[in-house]
Amino acid sequence: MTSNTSLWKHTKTWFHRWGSPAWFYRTSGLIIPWLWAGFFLLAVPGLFWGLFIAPADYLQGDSYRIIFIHVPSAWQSMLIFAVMAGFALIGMVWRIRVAETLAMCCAPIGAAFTVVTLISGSLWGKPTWGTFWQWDGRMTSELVLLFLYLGVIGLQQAIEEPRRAARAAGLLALVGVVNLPIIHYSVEWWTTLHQGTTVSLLGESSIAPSMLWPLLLMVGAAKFFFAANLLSRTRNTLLVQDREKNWVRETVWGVKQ
Amino acid sequence: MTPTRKRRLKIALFILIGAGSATSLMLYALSDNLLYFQSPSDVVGTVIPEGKRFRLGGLVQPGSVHRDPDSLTVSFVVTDGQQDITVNFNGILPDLFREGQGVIANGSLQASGQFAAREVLAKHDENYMPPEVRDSLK
Amino acid sequence: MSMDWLSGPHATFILSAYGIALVVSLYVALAPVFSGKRQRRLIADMHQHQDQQTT
Repeated sequence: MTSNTSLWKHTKTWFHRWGSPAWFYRTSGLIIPWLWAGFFLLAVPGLFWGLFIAPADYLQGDSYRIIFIHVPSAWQSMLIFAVMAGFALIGMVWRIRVAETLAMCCAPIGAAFTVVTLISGSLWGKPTWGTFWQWDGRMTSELVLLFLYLGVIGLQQAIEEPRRAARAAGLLALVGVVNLPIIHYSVEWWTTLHQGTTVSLLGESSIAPSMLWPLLLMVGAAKFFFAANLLSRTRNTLLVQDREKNWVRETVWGVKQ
Repeated sequence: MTPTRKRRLKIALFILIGAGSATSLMLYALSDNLLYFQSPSDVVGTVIPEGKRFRLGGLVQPGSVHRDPDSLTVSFVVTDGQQDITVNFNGILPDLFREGQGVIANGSLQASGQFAAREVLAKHDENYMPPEVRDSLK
Repeated sequence: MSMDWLSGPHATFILSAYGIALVVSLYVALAPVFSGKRQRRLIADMHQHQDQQTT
Protein backbone atom coordinates (compact mmCIF):
# COMPACT_ATOMS: atom_id res chain seq x y z
CA MET A 1 0.00 0.00 0.00
CA THR A 2 2.79 2.39 0.96
CA SER A 3 4.79 1.59 -2.18
CA ASN A 4 1.65 2.17 -4.21
CA THR A 5 1.10 5.60 -2.72
CA SER A 6 4.73 6.57 -3.24
CA LEU A 7 4.55 5.44 -6.88
CA TRP A 8 1.40 7.51 -7.29
CA LYS A 9 3.10 10.50 -5.67
CA HIS A 10 6.12 10.02 -7.90
CA THR A 11 3.97 9.97 -11.04
CA LYS A 12 2.12 13.02 -9.80
CA THR A 13 5.31 15.02 -9.26
CA TRP A 14 6.57 13.99 -12.68
CA PHE A 15 3.24 15.05 -14.21
CA HIS A 16 3.32 18.40 -12.40
CA ARG A 17 6.89 19.07 -13.49
CA TRP A 18 5.88 18.79 -17.15
CA GLY A 19 3.17 21.32 -16.39
CA SER A 20 5.80 23.99 -15.78
CA PRO A 21 6.58 25.88 -19.02
CA ALA A 22 10.22 26.46 -18.05
CA TRP A 23 10.80 22.77 -17.30
CA PHE A 24 8.90 21.79 -20.46
CA TYR A 25 10.99 24.13 -22.60
CA ARG A 26 14.29 22.85 -21.26
CA THR A 27 13.49 19.13 -21.22
CA SER A 28 11.78 19.01 -24.61
CA GLY A 29 14.80 20.83 -26.06
CA LEU A 30 16.93 17.89 -24.93
CA ILE A 31 14.54 15.27 -26.34
CA ILE A 32 13.81 16.77 -29.78
CA PRO A 33 17.15 15.82 -31.45
CA TRP A 34 16.67 12.19 -30.36
CA LEU A 35 13.16 12.16 -31.79
CA TRP A 36 14.47 13.40 -35.15
CA ALA A 37 17.18 10.74 -35.02
CA GLY A 38 14.49 8.10 -34.47
CA PHE A 39 12.52 9.51 -37.40
CA PHE A 40 15.44 9.26 -39.84
CA LEU A 41 16.46 5.86 -38.50
CA LEU A 42 13.03 4.51 -39.46
CA ALA A 43 12.05 6.67 -42.45
CA VAL A 44 15.20 6.23 -44.57
CA PRO A 45 15.23 2.39 -44.59
CA GLY A 46 11.41 2.34 -44.67
CA LEU A 47 11.24 4.51 -47.78
CA PHE A 48 14.04 2.66 -49.55
CA TRP A 49 12.58 -0.74 -48.71
CA GLY A 50 9.07 0.29 -49.73
CA LEU A 51 10.03 1.95 -52.99
CA PHE A 52 12.84 -0.24 -54.27
CA ILE A 53 12.99 -3.58 -52.46
CA ALA A 54 9.40 -4.62 -51.71
CA PRO A 55 7.88 -6.71 -54.52
CA ALA A 56 5.10 -5.44 -56.78
CA ASP A 57 1.51 -6.44 -55.95
CA TYR A 58 -0.04 -9.27 -57.95
CA LEU A 59 -3.08 -7.17 -58.87
CA GLN A 60 -2.14 -3.50 -58.59
CA GLY A 61 1.42 -3.77 -59.81
CA ASP A 62 3.57 -0.91 -58.53
CA SER A 63 0.85 1.66 -57.84
CA TYR A 64 0.33 0.02 -54.42
CA ARG A 65 3.70 1.53 -53.33
CA ILE A 66 1.69 4.63 -52.39
CA ILE A 67 0.55 2.58 -49.36
CA PHE A 68 3.85 3.34 -47.60
CA ILE A 69 2.97 7.04 -47.39
CA HIS A 70 -0.84 6.80 -47.45
CA VAL A 71 -1.48 4.39 -44.58
CA PRO A 72 1.09 5.84 -42.11
CA SER A 73 -0.23 9.36 -42.64
CA ALA A 74 -3.87 8.21 -42.46
CA TRP A 75 -3.26 6.51 -39.10
CA GLN A 76 -1.27 9.49 -37.90
CA SER A 77 -4.03 11.94 -38.92
CA MET A 78 -6.46 10.03 -36.68
CA LEU A 79 -4.03 9.45 -33.81
CA ILE A 80 -3.13 13.16 -33.66
CA PHE A 81 -6.80 14.05 -33.32
CA ALA A 82 -7.12 11.66 -30.38
CA VAL A 83 -3.95 13.10 -28.78
CA MET A 84 -5.24 16.63 -29.33
CA ALA A 85 -8.56 15.78 -27.66
CA GLY A 86 -6.69 14.11 -24.77
CA PHE A 87 -4.57 17.22 -24.10
CA ALA A 88 -7.65 19.41 -24.51
CA LEU A 89 -9.44 17.31 -21.86
CA ILE A 90 -6.48 17.59 -19.46
CA GLY A 91 -6.35 21.32 -20.11
CA MET A 92 -10.07 21.63 -19.56
CA VAL A 93 -10.19 19.72 -16.28
CA TRP A 94 -6.88 20.70 -14.66
CA ARG A 95 -6.40 24.07 -16.39
CA ILE A 96 -2.75 23.24 -17.20
CA ARG A 97 -1.48 25.74 -19.73
CA VAL A 98 1.17 23.41 -21.19
CA ALA A 99 -1.56 20.83 -21.96
CA GLU A 100 -3.73 23.49 -23.64
CA THR A 101 -0.77 24.65 -25.73
CA LEU A 102 0.12 21.07 -26.70
CA ALA A 103 -3.48 20.49 -27.85
CA MET A 104 -3.46 23.62 -30.01
CA CYS A 105 -0.09 22.75 -31.56
CA CYS A 106 -1.45 19.33 -32.60
CA ALA A 107 -3.97 20.85 -35.00
CA PRO A 108 -1.71 22.11 -37.84
CA ILE A 109 0.36 18.88 -37.82
CA GLY A 110 -2.78 16.76 -37.91
CA ALA A 111 -4.22 18.86 -40.73
CA ALA A 112 -1.01 18.36 -42.73
CA PHE A 113 -1.15 14.57 -42.27
CA THR A 114 -4.81 14.63 -43.34
CA VAL A 115 -3.95 16.59 -46.50
CA VAL A 116 -1.19 14.11 -47.35
CA THR A 117 -3.63 11.23 -46.73
CA LEU A 118 -6.28 12.70 -49.03
CA ILE A 119 -3.87 13.61 -51.84
CA SER A 120 -1.89 10.35 -51.77
CA GLY A 121 -5.15 8.38 -51.61
CA SER A 122 -6.50 10.24 -54.60
CA LEU A 123 -3.30 9.61 -56.56
CA TRP A 124 -3.61 5.93 -55.66
CA GLY A 125 -7.30 5.79 -56.58
CA LYS A 126 -6.83 6.98 -60.16
CA PRO A 127 -4.61 4.11 -61.42
CA THR A 128 -6.48 1.44 -59.42
CA TRP A 129 -10.17 2.33 -59.04
CA GLY A 130 -10.21 4.62 -62.05
CA THR A 131 -11.21 7.78 -60.16
CA PHE A 132 -9.51 10.49 -58.10
CA TRP A 133 -12.44 11.03 -55.77
CA GLN A 134 -15.79 9.46 -54.87
CA TRP A 135 -18.10 10.37 -51.99
CA ASP A 136 -17.92 7.04 -50.19
CA GLY A 137 -17.97 6.66 -46.40
CA ARG A 138 -14.20 6.43 -45.90
CA MET A 139 -13.20 9.36 -48.09
CA THR A 140 -16.00 11.63 -46.89
CA SER A 141 -15.27 11.00 -43.20
CA GLU A 142 -11.53 11.66 -43.74
CA LEU A 143 -12.44 14.94 -45.46
CA VAL A 144 -14.64 15.78 -42.44
CA LEU A 145 -11.53 15.20 -40.28
CA LEU A 146 -9.68 17.87 -42.28
CA PHE A 147 -12.55 20.31 -41.73
CA LEU A 148 -12.53 19.53 -38.00
CA TYR A 149 -8.81 20.33 -37.84
CA LEU A 150 -9.39 23.56 -39.79
CA GLY A 151 -12.27 24.36 -37.42
CA VAL A 152 -10.02 23.92 -34.38
CA ILE A 153 -7.32 26.14 -35.94
CA GLY A 154 -9.85 28.77 -37.02
CA LEU A 155 -11.67 28.88 -33.70
CA GLN A 156 -8.39 29.24 -31.84
CA GLN A 157 -7.27 32.13 -34.05
CA ALA A 158 -10.64 33.87 -33.84
CA ILE A 159 -10.36 34.36 -30.06
CA GLU A 160 -7.66 36.77 -28.97
CA GLU A 161 -6.94 35.67 -25.41
CA PRO A 162 -4.82 32.48 -25.88
CA ARG A 163 -6.16 30.51 -22.93
CA ARG A 164 -9.82 31.16 -23.74
CA ALA A 165 -9.05 30.35 -27.39
CA ALA A 166 -7.45 27.04 -26.40
CA ARG A 167 -10.40 26.09 -24.22
CA ALA A 168 -13.00 26.90 -26.88
CA ALA A 169 -11.07 25.09 -29.63
CA GLY A 170 -10.40 22.21 -27.22
CA LEU A 171 -14.15 21.74 -26.84
CA LEU A 172 -14.46 21.31 -30.62
CA ALA A 173 -11.57 18.82 -30.52
CA LEU A 174 -13.39 16.85 -27.83
CA VAL A 175 -16.64 16.74 -29.81
CA GLY A 176 -14.79 15.92 -33.04
CA VAL A 177 -13.49 12.68 -31.52
CA VAL A 178 -16.79 11.02 -32.53
CA ASN A 179 -15.57 11.18 -36.14
CA LEU A 180 -12.64 8.81 -35.40
CA PRO A 181 -14.70 5.59 -35.03
CA ILE A 182 -16.71 6.66 -38.07
CA ILE A 183 -13.55 6.84 -40.19
CA HIS A 184 -12.33 3.50 -38.87
CA TYR A 185 -15.56 1.54 -39.20
CA SER A 186 -16.89 3.25 -42.35
CA VAL A 187 -15.59 0.36 -44.47
CA GLU A 188 -17.43 -2.16 -42.29
CA TRP A 189 -20.70 -0.36 -41.55
CA TRP A 190 -21.45 0.68 -45.12
CA THR A 191 -20.54 -0.44 -48.60
CA THR A 192 -17.62 1.68 -49.80
CA LEU A 193 -15.30 1.95 -52.77
CA HIS A 194 -12.39 1.91 -50.32
CA GLN A 195 -11.28 -1.60 -49.36
CA GLY A 196 -11.51 -3.00 -45.84
CA THR A 197 -8.85 -3.00 -43.12
CA THR A 198 -5.56 -4.69 -44.10
CA VAL A 199 -3.34 -4.43 -41.03
CA SER A 200 -4.92 -5.50 -37.77
CA LEU A 201 -3.32 -5.26 -34.35
CA LEU A 202 -4.99 -8.46 -33.18
CA GLY A 203 -5.07 -11.31 -35.64
CA GLU A 204 -3.43 -11.75 -38.99
CA SER A 205 -2.77 -8.96 -41.48
CA SER A 206 -3.70 -9.62 -45.08
CA ILE A 207 -0.45 -8.26 -46.49
CA ALA A 208 2.72 -10.17 -47.36
CA PRO A 209 5.54 -9.75 -44.75
CA SER A 210 7.87 -8.29 -47.41
CA MET A 211 5.37 -5.44 -47.77
CA LEU A 212 4.31 -5.20 -44.12
CA TRP A 213 7.78 -4.45 -42.68
CA PRO A 214 8.48 -1.27 -44.67
CA LEU A 215 4.92 -0.19 -43.87
CA LEU A 216 5.53 -0.62 -40.14
CA LEU A 217 8.83 1.31 -40.37
CA MET A 218 7.00 4.21 -42.00
CA VAL A 219 4.23 4.04 -39.39
CA GLY A 220 6.89 4.35 -36.66
CA ALA A 221 8.61 7.19 -38.52
CA ALA A 222 5.34 9.14 -38.62
CA LYS A 223 5.07 8.89 -34.82
CA PHE A 224 8.58 10.30 -34.31
CA PHE A 225 7.94 13.09 -36.84
CA PHE A 226 4.79 14.10 -34.98
CA ALA A 227 6.41 14.00 -31.54
CA ALA A 228 9.42 16.09 -32.59
CA ASN A 229 7.29 18.60 -34.45
CA LEU A 230 4.73 18.91 -31.65
CA LEU A 231 7.43 19.64 -29.06
CA SER A 232 9.10 22.29 -31.29
CA ARG A 233 5.83 24.06 -31.94
CA THR A 234 4.79 23.95 -28.28
CA ARG A 235 8.18 25.37 -27.17
CA ASN A 236 7.76 28.31 -29.53
CA THR A 237 4.24 29.05 -28.38
CA LEU A 238 5.22 28.89 -24.69
CA LEU A 239 8.15 31.21 -25.32
CA VAL A 240 5.89 33.84 -26.89
CA GLN A 241 3.20 33.48 -24.22
CA ASP A 242 5.74 33.91 -21.41
CA ARG A 243 7.89 36.60 -23.07
CA GLU A 244 7.60 38.87 -20.00
CA LYS A 245 8.61 36.12 -17.56
CA ASN A 246 11.98 35.50 -16.00
CA TRP A 247 12.58 32.00 -17.38
CA VAL A 248 12.25 33.32 -20.93
CA ARG A 249 14.71 36.09 -20.16
CA GLU A 250 17.16 33.49 -18.89
CA THR A 251 16.63 31.24 -21.90
CA VAL A 252 16.86 33.92 -24.54
CA TRP A 253 19.91 35.60 -23.04
CA GLY A 254 21.50 32.41 -21.83
CA VAL A 255 22.20 33.76 -18.30
CA LYS A 256 21.32 32.28 -14.94
CA GLN A 257 20.10 34.98 -12.62
CA MET B 1 -9.25 15.31 -7.35
CA THR B 2 -10.83 18.53 -6.17
CA PRO B 3 -14.63 18.90 -6.51
CA THR B 4 -14.22 21.60 -9.20
CA ARG B 5 -12.05 19.30 -11.32
CA LYS B 6 -14.49 16.44 -10.83
CA ARG B 7 -17.30 18.67 -12.01
CA ARG B 8 -15.33 19.78 -15.08
CA LEU B 9 -14.47 16.16 -15.92
CA LYS B 10 -18.15 15.22 -15.64
CA ILE B 11 -19.12 18.05 -17.99
CA ALA B 12 -16.49 16.98 -20.52
CA LEU B 13 -17.65 13.35 -20.43
CA PHE B 14 -21.26 14.50 -20.70
CA ILE B 15 -20.40 16.50 -23.85
CA LEU B 16 -18.57 13.50 -25.32
CA ILE B 17 -21.45 11.10 -24.61
CA GLY B 18 -23.99 13.62 -25.91
CA ALA B 19 -22.11 14.22 -29.16
CA GLY B 20 -21.53 10.48 -29.56
CA SER B 21 -25.15 9.47 -29.13
CA ALA B 22 -26.46 12.28 -31.32
CA THR B 23 -24.09 11.23 -34.11
CA SER B 24 -24.90 7.52 -33.74
CA LEU B 25 -28.65 8.21 -33.96
CA MET B 26 -28.12 10.34 -37.05
CA LEU B 27 -25.94 7.73 -38.75
CA TYR B 28 -28.44 5.00 -37.83
CA ALA B 29 -31.31 6.97 -39.36
CA LEU B 30 -29.31 7.69 -42.52
CA SER B 31 -27.64 4.30 -42.82
CA ASP B 32 -29.42 3.33 -46.07
CA ASN B 33 -28.26 6.52 -47.75
CA LEU B 34 -24.67 6.05 -46.63
CA LEU B 35 -24.24 2.90 -48.69
CA TYR B 36 -21.95 3.61 -51.59
CA PHE B 37 -23.26 0.74 -53.72
CA GLN B 38 -25.99 -1.94 -53.78
CA SER B 39 -25.29 -5.63 -54.34
CA PRO B 40 -27.23 -7.64 -56.95
CA SER B 41 -29.17 -9.27 -54.08
CA ASP B 42 -30.24 -5.84 -52.79
CA VAL B 43 -31.43 -4.92 -56.29
CA VAL B 44 -33.21 -8.10 -57.41
CA GLY B 45 -35.56 -8.30 -54.42
CA THR B 46 -36.72 -4.69 -54.54
CA VAL B 47 -38.52 -2.55 -57.09
CA ILE B 48 -36.16 0.13 -58.38
CA PRO B 49 -37.82 2.44 -60.96
CA GLU B 50 -36.37 2.22 -64.43
CA GLY B 51 -33.90 5.01 -65.09
CA LYS B 52 -33.17 5.76 -61.39
CA ARG B 53 -29.43 6.23 -60.91
CA PHE B 54 -27.65 4.03 -58.37
CA ARG B 55 -24.38 2.12 -58.02
CA LEU B 56 -24.25 -1.61 -58.46
CA GLY B 57 -21.31 -3.45 -56.91
CA GLY B 58 -20.07 -7.02 -56.90
CA LEU B 59 -17.60 -9.34 -58.56
CA VAL B 60 -17.19 -9.72 -62.32
CA GLN B 61 -18.37 -13.26 -63.10
CA PRO B 62 -15.43 -15.13 -64.70
CA GLY B 63 -16.10 -15.87 -68.37
CA SER B 64 -18.95 -13.38 -68.64
CA VAL B 65 -17.07 -10.47 -70.26
CA HIS B 66 -18.02 -9.84 -73.89
CA ARG B 67 -16.33 -7.06 -75.79
CA ASP B 68 -17.70 -5.74 -79.05
CA PRO B 69 -14.76 -5.91 -81.48
CA ASP B 70 -15.76 -2.70 -83.32
CA SER B 71 -16.51 -0.36 -80.43
CA LEU B 72 -15.85 0.22 -76.74
CA THR B 73 -19.10 -1.52 -75.83
CA VAL B 74 -18.65 -4.24 -73.25
CA SER B 75 -21.02 -6.40 -71.27
CA PHE B 76 -20.35 -8.48 -68.20
CA VAL B 77 -22.21 -10.11 -65.32
CA VAL B 78 -21.93 -8.68 -61.80
CA THR B 79 -22.52 -11.28 -59.11
CA ASP B 80 -22.49 -11.49 -55.33
CA GLY B 81 -22.73 -15.26 -55.29
CA GLN B 82 -26.53 -15.26 -54.92
CA GLN B 83 -27.88 -13.03 -57.67
CA ASP B 84 -26.47 -11.90 -61.04
CA ILE B 85 -27.14 -8.78 -63.09
CA THR B 86 -25.85 -8.16 -66.60
CA VAL B 87 -24.15 -4.79 -67.06
CA ASN B 88 -23.75 -3.00 -70.39
CA PHE B 89 -21.14 -0.27 -70.67
CA ASN B 90 -19.76 1.87 -73.46
CA GLY B 91 -16.47 3.43 -72.44
CA ILE B 92 -12.99 2.82 -71.11
CA LEU B 93 -12.74 0.32 -68.28
CA PRO B 94 -10.27 0.95 -65.42
CA ASP B 95 -6.91 -0.87 -65.55
CA LEU B 96 -7.82 -3.09 -62.63
CA PHE B 97 -11.00 -4.39 -64.28
CA ARG B 98 -10.53 -8.19 -64.19
CA GLU B 99 -12.71 -11.23 -64.20
CA GLY B 100 -13.28 -12.40 -60.64
CA GLN B 101 -12.38 -8.98 -59.20
CA GLY B 102 -14.61 -6.35 -57.62
CA VAL B 103 -16.35 -3.72 -59.72
CA ILE B 104 -18.74 -0.83 -59.10
CA ALA B 105 -20.99 0.34 -61.94
CA ASN B 106 -22.85 3.66 -61.78
CA GLY B 107 -25.99 3.75 -63.89
CA SER B 108 -29.60 2.55 -63.98
CA LEU B 109 -31.75 -0.49 -64.70
CA GLN B 110 -33.25 -0.88 -68.16
CA ALA B 111 -36.66 -2.34 -69.03
CA SER B 112 -34.91 -5.62 -69.91
CA GLY B 113 -33.67 -5.95 -66.33
CA GLN B 114 -30.09 -5.33 -67.43
CA PHE B 115 -28.01 -2.52 -65.99
CA ALA B 116 -26.82 0.32 -68.20
CA ALA B 117 -23.61 1.72 -66.70
CA ARG B 118 -22.40 5.27 -67.32
CA GLU B 119 -19.21 4.76 -65.32
CA VAL B 120 -17.36 1.65 -64.16
CA LEU B 121 -14.86 1.69 -61.27
CA ALA B 122 -12.66 -1.17 -60.11
CA LYS B 123 -12.75 -2.16 -56.44
CA HIS B 124 -9.81 -4.07 -55.07
CA ASP B 125 -9.72 -5.97 -51.79
CA GLU B 126 -7.51 -5.49 -48.74
CA ASN B 127 -5.02 -8.24 -49.67
CA TYR B 128 -1.54 -7.31 -50.85
CA MET B 129 0.98 -9.91 -51.98
CA PRO B 130 3.65 -10.51 -54.61
CA PRO B 131 2.63 -12.45 -57.77
CA GLU B 132 4.55 -15.60 -56.67
CA VAL B 133 2.58 -15.81 -53.43
CA ARG B 134 -0.65 -15.35 -55.36
CA ASP B 135 0.28 -18.17 -57.76
CA SER B 136 1.14 -20.53 -54.93
CA LEU B 137 -2.27 -19.85 -53.34
CA LYS B 138 -4.12 -20.95 -56.48
CA MET C 1 16.07 -4.21 -56.16
CA SER C 2 13.00 -3.39 -58.19
CA MET C 3 13.39 0.00 -59.83
CA ASP C 4 11.62 -0.89 -63.08
CA TRP C 5 8.50 0.92 -61.97
CA LEU C 6 10.29 4.26 -62.40
CA SER C 7 9.73 3.86 -66.14
CA GLY C 8 6.36 2.14 -65.72
CA PRO C 9 2.86 3.58 -66.20
CA HIS C 10 2.33 4.35 -62.50
CA ALA C 11 5.55 6.27 -61.90
CA THR C 12 3.83 9.67 -62.21
CA PHE C 13 1.26 8.78 -59.57
CA ILE C 14 3.79 7.28 -57.16
CA LEU C 15 6.32 10.09 -57.55
CA SER C 16 3.66 12.82 -57.20
CA ALA C 17 2.31 11.21 -54.03
CA TYR C 18 5.77 11.03 -52.45
CA GLY C 19 6.73 14.45 -53.79
CA ILE C 20 3.70 16.16 -52.28
CA ALA C 21 4.25 14.31 -48.99
CA LEU C 22 7.88 15.53 -48.98
CA VAL C 23 6.92 19.16 -49.62
CA VAL C 24 4.20 19.14 -46.96
CA SER C 25 6.40 17.48 -44.34
CA LEU C 26 9.34 19.81 -45.04
CA TYR C 27 7.04 22.81 -44.59
CA VAL C 28 5.52 21.41 -41.39
CA ALA C 29 8.93 20.45 -39.97
CA LEU C 30 10.80 23.66 -40.83
CA ALA C 31 8.07 26.20 -39.96
CA PRO C 32 8.64 25.98 -36.17
CA VAL C 33 12.44 26.12 -36.62
CA PHE C 34 12.32 29.44 -38.48
CA SER C 35 9.51 30.98 -36.46
CA GLY C 36 11.31 29.94 -33.27
CA LYS C 37 14.47 31.77 -34.32
CA ARG C 38 12.50 34.87 -35.29
CA GLN C 39 10.57 34.89 -32.03
CA ARG C 40 13.67 34.54 -29.92
CA ARG C 41 15.17 37.55 -31.70
CA LEU C 42 11.98 39.60 -31.25
CA ILE C 43 11.82 38.73 -27.55
CA ALA C 44 15.51 39.60 -27.10
CA ASP C 45 14.91 42.98 -28.77
CA MET C 46 11.91 43.58 -26.52
CA HIS C 47 13.93 42.82 -23.38
CA GLN C 48 16.76 45.09 -24.50
CA HIS C 49 14.29 47.88 -25.11
CA GLN C 50 12.76 47.42 -21.65
CA ASP C 51 16.19 47.39 -19.99
CA GLN C 52 17.18 50.64 -21.71
CA GLN C 53 13.97 52.30 -20.51
CA THR C 54 14.50 51.28 -16.88
CA THR C 55 18.13 52.45 -16.70
